[in-house]
Amino acid sequence: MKQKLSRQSENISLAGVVVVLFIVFTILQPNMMTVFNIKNILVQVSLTAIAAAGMTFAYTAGVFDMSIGSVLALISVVVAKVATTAGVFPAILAAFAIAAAVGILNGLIVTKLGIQAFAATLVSMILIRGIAVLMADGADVPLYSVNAIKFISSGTILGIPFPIILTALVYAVSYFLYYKTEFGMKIRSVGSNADASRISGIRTQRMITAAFILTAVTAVFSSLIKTAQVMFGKATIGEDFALDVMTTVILGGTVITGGKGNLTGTLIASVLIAVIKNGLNINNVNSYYQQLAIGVILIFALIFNGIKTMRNTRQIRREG
Amino acid sequence: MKKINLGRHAVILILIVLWGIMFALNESFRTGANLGSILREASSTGIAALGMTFIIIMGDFDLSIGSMLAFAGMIMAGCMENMGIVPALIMGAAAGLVCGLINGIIIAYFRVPAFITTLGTYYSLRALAYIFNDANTIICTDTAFLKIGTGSIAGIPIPFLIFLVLAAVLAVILNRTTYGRHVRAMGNSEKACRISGIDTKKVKCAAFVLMGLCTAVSSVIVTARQACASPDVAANFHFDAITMVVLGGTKMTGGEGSIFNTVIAAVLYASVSNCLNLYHVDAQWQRVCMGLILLAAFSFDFIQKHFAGLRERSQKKTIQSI
Repeated sequence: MKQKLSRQSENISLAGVVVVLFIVFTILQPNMMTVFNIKNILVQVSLTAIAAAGMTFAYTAGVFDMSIGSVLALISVVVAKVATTAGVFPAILAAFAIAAAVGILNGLIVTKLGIQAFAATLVSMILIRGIAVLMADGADVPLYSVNAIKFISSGTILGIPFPIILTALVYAVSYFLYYKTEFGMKIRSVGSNADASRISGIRTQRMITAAFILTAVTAVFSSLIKTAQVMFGKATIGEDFALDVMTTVILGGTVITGGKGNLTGTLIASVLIAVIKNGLNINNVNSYYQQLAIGVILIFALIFNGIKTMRNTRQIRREG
Repeated sequence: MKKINLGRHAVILILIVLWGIMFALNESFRTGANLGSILREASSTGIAALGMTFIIIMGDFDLSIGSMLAFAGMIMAGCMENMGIVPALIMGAAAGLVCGLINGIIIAYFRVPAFITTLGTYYSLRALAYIFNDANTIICTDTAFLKIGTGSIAGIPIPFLIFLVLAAVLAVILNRTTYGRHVRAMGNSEKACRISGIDTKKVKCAAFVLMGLCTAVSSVIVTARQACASPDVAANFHFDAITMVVLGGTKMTGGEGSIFNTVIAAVLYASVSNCLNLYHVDAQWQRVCMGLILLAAFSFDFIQKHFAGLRERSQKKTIQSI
């Protein structure tokens, strides 16, 4: 009960920061407060928010995925290649199949070879990026001939941009999976104590692999939106995507060491990141300063997270 | 018969075999200029790998070193224009030290996992390197400075000499001092160290400062070799350094490792990439190759354990059948 309360108050304060920042940026540059720009921000939100939902599962299971930016690039190239030759639906199917394969591969490397998650995904990051560049043959794959793809980024249903609907759907499913199903409970259990979970009959390796698959599969949605935005299959996109997603998840209050995630926090944090990026953009701040800002925010979020964990452990020790 | 630990000597064997084959097959490989360039290449990343050896033995990682190298290089080159070579080198070292200290404080005193902290500094420092001179390259013209990267004494490249001296010093620190013992003990069990009264936070923080200093030295060599400091240099530096350390047999889980093997692995890694270059392998394929090498190095531990397990089982079976 107390935990739930503290999570709520964290979410509310995070949302407060979003509102304050938005107001500050609006004062600096009134163009911030236009319908067009807000729609822009929300589409921006959907890019990181969707992948961050998957990453929240990974963090909860006690692992994390550095290769997500490379997955973004690989899927982008695959979608462009298949869509121009075989059509949109085969392209999307292929994208999900490949993402699932990447997730399984990551999971197998981590669980079967016993390599730490981030080291393993550091390797797959390099390998997947290499495959993406080789597939694209060093050039962008144009998508102009396939107009249907455009719908994913700029289409609307009942006036609501499609990426936002997609985000809502992904989060609805994630919420259900995370809080209401046995699967979610098992993931949380594996993250907080893998040994105890194994002894009590949970197949921990499968859970970890599942978390990797979820991360890669949610990255497909992000990749589709990004690809539809630029209308190119690009092997160079997503270089700092991992930073954005990690920052989002940690800022959202998910515990780094696993076991406890906060999906609402993740969603709010992705709005925060998007508002910052958009606000700096609209005020003509150089993109390097944006990267610096996100990096510094990540570091402060980490420090905050560290202090919180230390306080918790001290409290547990005191209460015995 | 004394059992030879294959894991410990595998790197040097592979290096000898590779060099043997390449000496026999490829004429351009055995030229003095090419060997010199292998050693220079090995040194520039290898020096950072020395610091990384400490970090990995402790059970942590540092992903930020590439950005740190670019940042320190920019500061150094920027100072060199106005202040001369010695203050510039001092400023470069100071930049490395401060970056390492920031990493160390966050990781040790706020107990944040190293890889995620250094991911944050990885992006922040890279951004700072770009901001420092508006994303422009700074050219270095000081001939004495350029000598550090391109000169050689008695036929041996200066970077390699620096590499060897540093390796010797760090090997002594790791194997012969209390601090080194603490680092190794931390890799085995941080909790046990804390309970037995070691100031684990200070040990950890110092290791990251050491990493920063090593990176600064690497930065001197890289900048001097290229005769300029550019903000986009060394994008995969952390990856190369980690590969060298792991290739050198340092256990990823910490507690065990050797500086000597890291030196050999650095030369091996540089030789492999040199060979790929000699046979005109595409840069992307090279990266994929290096990725596979790292994966193989990572799984080496697993393979060893697996075979040890198999051997034990077969021994048990023979005993049972008797």
